[in-house]
Amino acid sequence: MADKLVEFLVVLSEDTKLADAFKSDKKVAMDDFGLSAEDQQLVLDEKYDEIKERCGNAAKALNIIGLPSIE
Amino acid sequence: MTENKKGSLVIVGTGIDVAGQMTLKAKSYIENADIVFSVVSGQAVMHWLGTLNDNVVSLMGLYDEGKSRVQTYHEMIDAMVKAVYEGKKVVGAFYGHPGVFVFPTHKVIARLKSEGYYAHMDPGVSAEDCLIADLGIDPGMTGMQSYEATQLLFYKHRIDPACMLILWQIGLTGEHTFRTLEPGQCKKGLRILTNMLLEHYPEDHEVIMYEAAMLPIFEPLIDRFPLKDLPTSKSTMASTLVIPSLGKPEFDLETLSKLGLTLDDVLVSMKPEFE
Repeated sequence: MADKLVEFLVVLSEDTKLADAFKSDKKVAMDDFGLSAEDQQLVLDEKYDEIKERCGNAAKALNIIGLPSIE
Repeated sequence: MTENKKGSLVIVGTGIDVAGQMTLKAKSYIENADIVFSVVSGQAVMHWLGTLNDNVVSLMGLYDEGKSRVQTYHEMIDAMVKAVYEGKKVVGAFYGHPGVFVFPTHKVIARLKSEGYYAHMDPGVSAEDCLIADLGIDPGMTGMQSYEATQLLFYKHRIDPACMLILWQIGLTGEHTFRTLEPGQCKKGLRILTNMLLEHYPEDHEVIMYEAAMLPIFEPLIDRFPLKDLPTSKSTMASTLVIPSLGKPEFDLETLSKLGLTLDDVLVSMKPEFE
């Protein structure tokens, strides 16, 4: 089963209704989505490193960047 | 070369954030592919891709500490080519815009086309697109120069301070081995770059260290400081340096004359829309 926090972030990035609700009241939006109290606390406490770890390290994807001249 | 062989490849971008910046067309390509190879920013995007297609294979595992990224890029190309040879409808889903600062995507398309296969790239939302939106800077107003920071050092490019200058991968300035991914190891390159820039801009010219938001709960990182402080600034692998224009250059009266125009003609036509 997918990580509920990951699922929340996916939906938050594409659903403007949820994004507006989150902007208006983070707690209510996360409650309505069914996020656990622990996950909600991670977001409210802005534990971004832990959240990044859960979602995969974005910086790793940047490894794909490469100079066009490296043939 | 005719494109009549059975296998095919479409390269798409997933955008900078998790899912919301993927184009409708890219989403449709992914949904209808036999296999999707992904090089994306982690579990959240992988989860999203998995909701669109049951057969998503991450190529991120090809990276390894100390392994040359060039080797990894060629292994990515080989994986996609093999699936096309097997007659599959293949999609390569890459982070951001799949053709910006991405070596294997252009290469694999060129290779497959030369062999008679259908292959093309669809554009995606790039870090540059996010930068323009987040910083509120329109490159059309001043013109724009854009370089990978290390390439600006390695080659004798000509900086035009009348344009906005964007330097990508500022945290890896001077890195040339394709093995180092630690911004802290590139301080020497940053110092040399700063000295180069100081030949064109005053030391108190405000520059911007920028990083797009990669998750929807984040805000973009926007740090403004004088150019002279660049060597001690904080940057990551994802940081981009923006150097705003010093202002428009002088009018080229000779060319205006050839066009049958005077300076007044141009100034009148520019007002009031662009003020």
